[in-house]
Parts: sequence; C-alpha cells; structure tokens
Amino acid sequence: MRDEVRSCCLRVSLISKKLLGFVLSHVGLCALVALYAVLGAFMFRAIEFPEEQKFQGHIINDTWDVVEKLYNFIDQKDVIEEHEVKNKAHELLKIYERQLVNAVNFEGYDEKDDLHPTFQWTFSGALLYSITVFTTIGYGHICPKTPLGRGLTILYATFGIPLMLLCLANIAESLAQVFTFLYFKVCCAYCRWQQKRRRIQRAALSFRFHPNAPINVRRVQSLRSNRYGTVRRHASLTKRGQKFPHMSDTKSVRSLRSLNRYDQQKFDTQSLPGKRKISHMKNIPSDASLLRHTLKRGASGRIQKNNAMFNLEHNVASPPIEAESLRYLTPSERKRRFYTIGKCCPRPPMRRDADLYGRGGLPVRYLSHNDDDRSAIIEMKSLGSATVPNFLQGMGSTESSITRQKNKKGKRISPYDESGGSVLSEGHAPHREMEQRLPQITVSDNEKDENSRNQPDLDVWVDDEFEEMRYGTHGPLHGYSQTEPPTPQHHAVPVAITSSSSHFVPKQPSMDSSISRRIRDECRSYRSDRSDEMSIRSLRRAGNGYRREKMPVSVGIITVILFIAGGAILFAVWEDWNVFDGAYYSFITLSTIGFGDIVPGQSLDEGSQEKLIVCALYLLFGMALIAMCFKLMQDDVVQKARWLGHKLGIIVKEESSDSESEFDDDLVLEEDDEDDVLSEEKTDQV
Amino acid sequence: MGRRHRRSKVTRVVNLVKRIIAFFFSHVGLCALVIGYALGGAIIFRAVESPHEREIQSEVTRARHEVVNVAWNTTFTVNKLDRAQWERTVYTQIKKFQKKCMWAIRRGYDGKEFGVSAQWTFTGSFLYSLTVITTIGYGNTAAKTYFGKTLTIVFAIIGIPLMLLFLTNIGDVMAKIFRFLYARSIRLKYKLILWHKKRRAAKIRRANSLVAKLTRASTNRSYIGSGRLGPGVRDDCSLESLGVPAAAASDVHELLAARVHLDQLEVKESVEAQLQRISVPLSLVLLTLLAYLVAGSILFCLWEGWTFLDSFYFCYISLTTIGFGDKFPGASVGNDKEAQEKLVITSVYLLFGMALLAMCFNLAQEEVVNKVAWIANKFRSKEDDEYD
Repeated sequence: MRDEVRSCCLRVSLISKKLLGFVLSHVGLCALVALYAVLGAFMFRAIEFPEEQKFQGHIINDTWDVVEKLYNFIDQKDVIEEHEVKNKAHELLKIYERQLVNAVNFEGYDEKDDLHPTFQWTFSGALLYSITVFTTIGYGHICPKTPLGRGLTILYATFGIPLMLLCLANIAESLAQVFTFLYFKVCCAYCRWQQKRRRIQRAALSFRFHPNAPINVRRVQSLRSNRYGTVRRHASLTKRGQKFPHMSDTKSVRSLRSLNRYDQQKFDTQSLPGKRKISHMKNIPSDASLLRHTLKRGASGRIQKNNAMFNLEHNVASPPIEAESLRYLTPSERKRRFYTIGKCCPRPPMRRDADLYGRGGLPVRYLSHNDDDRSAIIEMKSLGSATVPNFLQGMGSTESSITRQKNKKGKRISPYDESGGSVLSEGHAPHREMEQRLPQITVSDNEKDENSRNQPDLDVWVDDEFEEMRYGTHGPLHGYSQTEPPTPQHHAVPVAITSSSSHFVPKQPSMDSSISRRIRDECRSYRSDRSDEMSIRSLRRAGNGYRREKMPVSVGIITVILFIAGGAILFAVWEDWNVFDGAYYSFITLSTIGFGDIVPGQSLDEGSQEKLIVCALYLLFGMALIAMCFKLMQDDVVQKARWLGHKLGIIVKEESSDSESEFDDDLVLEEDDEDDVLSEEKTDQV
Repeated sequence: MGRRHRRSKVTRVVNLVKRIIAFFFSHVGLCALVIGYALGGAIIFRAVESPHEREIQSEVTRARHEVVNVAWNTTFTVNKLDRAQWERTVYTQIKKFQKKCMWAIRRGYDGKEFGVSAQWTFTGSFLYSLTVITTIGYGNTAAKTYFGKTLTIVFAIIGIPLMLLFLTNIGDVMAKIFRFLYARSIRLKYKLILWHKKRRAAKIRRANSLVAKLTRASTNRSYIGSGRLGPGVRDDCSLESLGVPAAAASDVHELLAARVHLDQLEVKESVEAQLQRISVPLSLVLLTLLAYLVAGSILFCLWEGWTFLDSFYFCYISLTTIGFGDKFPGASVGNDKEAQEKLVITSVYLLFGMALLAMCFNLAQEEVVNKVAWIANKFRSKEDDEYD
C-alpha cells in the first residue's frame, strides 16, 4: 500500500514539518508581535523624542513666566488696585494650572523633572506605548504630540490590532493546553483516587447543562424508568424495578441515575462499543476494512444512490497512517486529525441517515427494495449496535452472519475502550450511554409477536458477546442482558409517545410500520448522537491537549483573580502604591480599559525604565492569560448561559418543541457534513 | 409541547417576569438595558465622585487665593523697586502652589473651576460609565475614591459582557438591515438597467416598424406604379408584395423581442445570482467605516477647532477602544453648557460607532474567514504537494 510506504518513509519528515509548523505558529507569531512592538518603539521614539526634548522642562519657564507677567502687570500700573491685581493673578494662575494639568497627565511631568529632566519617550516608554496601542489599552500617559506620530499611530494600530488578536488566539490555545495539563497532572494528582465520584458528578452536571438536554432527558427517562422506577410523565408505565418508587421528578431521576452510574459504567464501557467514535481510532484498520466490506455488499444493489458512500470508502483507507502518526502531531493538529478520523469511520451511517432523513421520501424507497439492501442499510446505520441482530433476525435476512461478525469485531474493540477510553471526556458518559440505549428502545417498537421472535435472537447475540468478552464484569453484563429482553413490553408506551410526537411520518405503502418507525427512531437517535458528538468536540476544543476533563469555570476565574492579586502586590511593592490601587490598576489594564491615571514607572525615576518593561510583559502575559481563560471557559459559559436562558425564558424557541431542536440538529448535521467534505478533501490530498 | 404545558401551570407572575426578562434581551430591550445601565452608572458615579472632586477643587481654589493674597501683600511689604526680591517671594509661593496643584492633579483635578464646571456632571459621568463598559477608558475622568474604584471594577465586570452582548445583537440587526439595503440597491440598479434596455429595445422596434412601414409604402407604390395589369391581379400582388416585407418586419420584431427577452433573462439571472449569495463586499464595509470616521472627524474638526488629522486621530483612537484621552472634546471650552452638549454628542457618536463597528465585523467576518480559510487551504495543499 502506498499509505504504508509513506508512513514508513516520511514519518520523520512529517514530524519535523509539524514541529516547524508549531514553531512557526506559536513561537513565530509571538516573535512577530514582539518584533512589531520593538519596531514601533523605535519608530515612535525617533519621531517623538525630539519633540519632547523641545518642550521638556517648560514648566520651570512657565512658572517664571507667571511671576514676570504679574510683576510687569503691577509695574505698568500707576495706581495699584487690589481688585485688578488679584484678578490678574487669578487668571495667570489658572492658565498655569491648565499647563500643569496637561504636563502631568500627558507629558509625564514630575516635581523631580525640574532637577534632572526625565524623558517619556525613552525606549522602554515607547515600547510600552506601542504595546498599549495594539492591545487597545491606551493609557494615554504617553501619547504622540506630533502630527506624524499621530498618523503613524493610526497606521500602527490598523495593522497591530489584528496581529495581536491573532497572536492572542494562538497563544491562548497553547497556554490552555499547558494550563489544563498542569491543572490535571499537578494540582489534581492527589485526588485521583476519588476521581470516579467526581466524574459522576461532573457527568451529571454537564448532562444537565447539555444544550440538547430536553430531548435527551426525555429519552433517558423513558429508557431508565424500568430501572429506577417510574417518572411522573410516564406514569402509565408498568413499574418494573421499583427501587425508587418515591421518585417523581426529572431531577431526581438524573441524580439517582448519576448515583447509580457506579455499577453501570462497567458494562457501559464494554457492552456496546460500536459507537465509540474516539476509541475506535486505534482499530480503524480492521473496522475500516470491515466497513468497506459491508458497504460493498450493501451497495451492490444501488450504486446510483450512494456515491457519497464510495467517497467515504477510500477515506477509510487512509486512517492507519493517521492513527500511527497521531501521537507525534502537535495538539492542534491532532485535534484536526481526531475529527478526521472520528468522522471517517463512523460517519457512513451518519451520512446515510442524513440522506434518509433529509430527502424524506427516500427511506420508503430503500425499504421497498429487497431484504438484502434494506438490511445493509440498517446495518450500516447501526454499526455494531444492538438492534442490528434483532432486526435482521426479525427480518429473516441472509446477512445476519455479517452483522454477527461485526458485533464480534465490536467486542474486540472493547479492550481498547477500557484503555483508550480515557481519551474520552467523562462528561460524555451519559450521552454515550444514551446513544447505546437508543437502539434498544426502538426494539421495543416491535409488535408482540415480533418480540417473541426477537427474544431468542437476542440471546444468541448475548452469547456472542460472551464469547468475545475477555474482560471481567460478567456479572453486571449478565444481569444486563437478562433484564434486557423483557423491556419492550414495558416500554411500549414511551416509545409510542416519542414516535407520535415526531413530525416526520413517511409514506409506508409496502412495509410494516415497525420498520419505518425504527428507521425513523434510528434517524433520531443518530441525530441526537450527532449533537452529542458535537459536544464531545467542543469539549475537546476546550482542553485539546489533555482531554480527560473539562476545566471548571471557577478555576479559570481564580487564576485570573490570582494574577490580578499578584500584579497588585508586585506594583504595591515597587511603586509604593497601596494594594488596592495595584489591584485597580491590574484590573483596568487587563480589561483593556486603560485609564492611565495610575501607571507604573512614574513615581520613581530610578529604574523606572525596567519597570516599564516589566509592566509591558505583565500586560502581554495578562492578556494571553485572559484569552486563555476565555478559551477554556467559553463552552461551559455558553452552555450555562443557555441553560440560564432556558430557565429565565429568554430562549423559548428551542425549548418549545421537539421539532425545532431537531431542526437545530439538522443544521448541525449539515455543518458537519460540510466539515466532512473538507476533511475528505484533506485526506484525499494526503 | 409538554414543557409548554407545564409552563402554563406555572403562576402568571413568573411568566410575566420571564417575559420582561426576555424583552430585555430582545433588540430594543438590550439597547434600553445598556443605556439604562450606563445611566444608572452615571448617577451612582456622580453621587460617589462628585463630593470628592468638589473637595479637591475647593482646595486648589483656596491655595490659589492664598498665593494671590501673598503676592498682593508682598507688593506692599517688599519694596516695589526691588524686583528680584519680589520675584523670589512670589516664585516660592507659586512653587508651593504648584505642589498643591500636583497633589490635586494626582487626585483627578483637571483645571475645572470650583462651582463653575466639574468633571462629574451627569453627562460627564455618563460618558465615564460608557468608556468603562466599552473599554475605551479615556482616563481624563477617572474614579479616585476607593469606593468609586471598587464600583468601577464591579461595573466593568457586569457591564463589559453586557456591552458585548448588546454589540453582537445590535451588530446583527444592523448587518441584516445593511444587507437588505445592499440587496435592494442592487435590485434597483438592475431594474434600472432593465428599464433602460427595454426602452432602447422599444425605440429600436419603433424605428424598425417605421422602416417597415416605409418600405411597405414604397413597394406598394412601386407595385401600384409598375404593374397596372388589372384590379384582381393587383390585389393579389399587393397582398403578396405586402406579405413579404410585413413578414420580414415581424421577423425583425420577433427577433428583437427575443433578444430583449434574452437580455432581460440574463440580467435577471445575474441579479438572482447576486441576491443568492448576498454578501456585502469587504470594500464596501470598510468604506462605510471610513465614512463614519471621516464624518466624525469633520464634525469634531468644525466644533473643536482641531486640525483634521487631530480629530481623525481622536475618532480612530476612540473607535478602536484604545482611548488615550489626550484629545478630548469639551475640554477646551470653558463654558459648561457647551461642554456638556459636546459630551452628549461624543457619547452618542461612540455608542453608534461601536454598533457600526460590530456590524462591520459581522459583515466582514464571513468573507474574511473565507479568505483566510482559502489561503490556509492553499498553503496546506501546497505543503501536501511538497510532502507527496
């Protein structure tokens, strides 16, 4: 294979290239900004310094001027009137005051300037000036006086501000990485042992704040009710596992669910690996070939319809390299690759779904084909999911062996899930879980006679699973698989609700309603699945280096507060300000308000130049830190804001009905498809 | 649906409150919220800072009176002719006064006379709160008391996100309006072109028909003149002879009409295509911004008597939120009322300018992102080619 050859030969060059790219992107950009600042400093100093030299020390002259003017005024008068003289003196002193105000505020005048003049437009002053320009802080304590300086400032800002923003965005990313790493490696090392509990809490929390919560909650409720008793909404359900009969509202369902995740997690991570998008990565070769195989089988009958599928096929071929070179990439690169891979292999089902759903009429057409085609579609859709065997057996398809095989493959993946699952962010456990459950709810859609047919098949599948299981936790799994078959009867009601509430009713001339409904439900499950993947991505975006956990907002806020406090103490010590003034200065600076009424390097003339440079460094680093915090907090804050919006009734639209949120998902889907196309192109190019 | 159902059970008061909050986060409400926030800030800051400012001002005034009195007294005590001694005495006094002034300036004194004008008037503090939440931060007016500083920090923490929300919101609305206007203008332009073409086509048609008529008339006459074979034959001939040029004329007509129609279709298609991907060009966006800047600078140029460059500098520095504060409208005017007016105008200019800037970001974003992505793509593909 070409891929293998390339992976062997050019890995080194790839790494070196990526390394170079890293340097260029992060360090290089920083250097560019620094260079820009220094260049600006030289330029402004060259322009403004001669001007400053001209008016330096004009206050002494002004003072003498006032005295002389007053004397002359008195001298010229023959009759000295108290009123006149006093008025004149007031006038002169007022003018003098104005001059003084101007000199102090904008020319850096100080009492000590009279003895030995200090200049504002030294190199460090000019450096600070150029930095305040392109960070848009704009203290104004040093400002250009010449027209040329002012015009150049405009130009300088025009190019500097975008550059600075670019650099900040870049730096923030790497800083965020470092910060996340530090936070989770160093700060949280001691609390590893209770990670599980925290994970559960966080999972529950992030689940609750999930943008698509309304849908998911409903589903989960309908899914969960057999395990945790009934919810008020589904009061008509038969109560099966009445462990918590007192529970009557959704919150308690969630919390209890989260409490009980202890025992669920084990088999959740192992039982249904088919949808593990991220953990799939290392198994792409096997999975990919399998996928292709099934694709070809399935697609033989309807080549004309799925060109997209074939596109995907050769996508699937490239991942081996990707997976291998993955750990050598820069984190951002890796992120990109992750998307690519994550999209490449589990995507085909998604696309099919999008097609199915988007064109509306298509599912009917597909389903009116012969059994082979149909089963292939379903199979692709629910790659390794639990419904497949059921369905296939129920349909009496000839391809069940393939699906069985695929299930086995899926099981083989499961060890990786244990080890590689750490890559996943835990916030996602519930969603994942949900996704995995969703097919099962669709099973329940079947009629009773089908159920009776299904049951043995399910057992067969379970046996398969047992064969392939190499890891422990047979107990819970066993319990799980045994409790599973009866669920359909108990879940007939909620499922019926779901499907009736869905607005999508396909024409079904030639097939029984259960199939169409299942497909529809699967569509929906995938679409929720998609949105979940989106949020996985956003999580990855949040801390792309170390994707274990999401950074809590409080940590970021505390960091910023600590930084401000540090600045406050630093400046208080150096400048003889009190601590409050230092904090005020730091805040005003870092929020880029920049009044400039308090600026370091003014009160002391000895060593004030170094202080200006330190100030500039503090400023730049602070901006980067704040940008980093924004980056880390962004998703969480947005989610929380959205939640708050829901709560306060500001965002009513999304909340109001299922269909609209589905519409949103639709949008997301489309975007993703575009992404997908892009990534396809990329992989093609590579 | 279930949710709505449940909500209907919730008390009406909660609903009302929700509605009010929702209103506040709509476009108009957000505007009102921001302005109300700034106004509230203005009132609070004025209440907090005004006494302090007045105190400082009165101190300076007192010191000045002292200096004047001393100078007056020295005029009597010191021999008037002894200029050196007089000057020395007054100079030391003025030096003392200068120290007092420096102390006052560090506490926010900016030369405004006690009782005549002040920094922390209502408009002044409104502008202050505006500069805080837009992060312009001129700094010519800044809180000096501890309470004021703390309040500023809190005000900024709440106000800056609010302002950002407002700006994105209003920028979105304005971008929509701008886009709509742009689309309308394009449509109008093409309509004009269409109309013009139609008119021209009509003219040509008229001319052609005239020609046809003429030719018909001439052939008629020639036929009438040449073939005097008989009335019956003549009729046929005339019909035939009439038929040919008439057919030709109608052909021409049809052709012309078809061409016009084709033209119209073409133009329509192009219009539709333009309207389909109605993205305002980057140059137009930048031009709008520049026009706003220039308009503002001309305004300040006329009012303040600054040079054009200076007022452009002021506008630019303000709208980029750098905000040096070295040039500031209203500072040069002694008259308080005029200064207040100027402050109001400045704040309106700033607020609208920020909204306009947000709009421009909104409009330009897509295109810029597209371009950057294109460049990145190109770069990447090149890299990949090298790699291959």
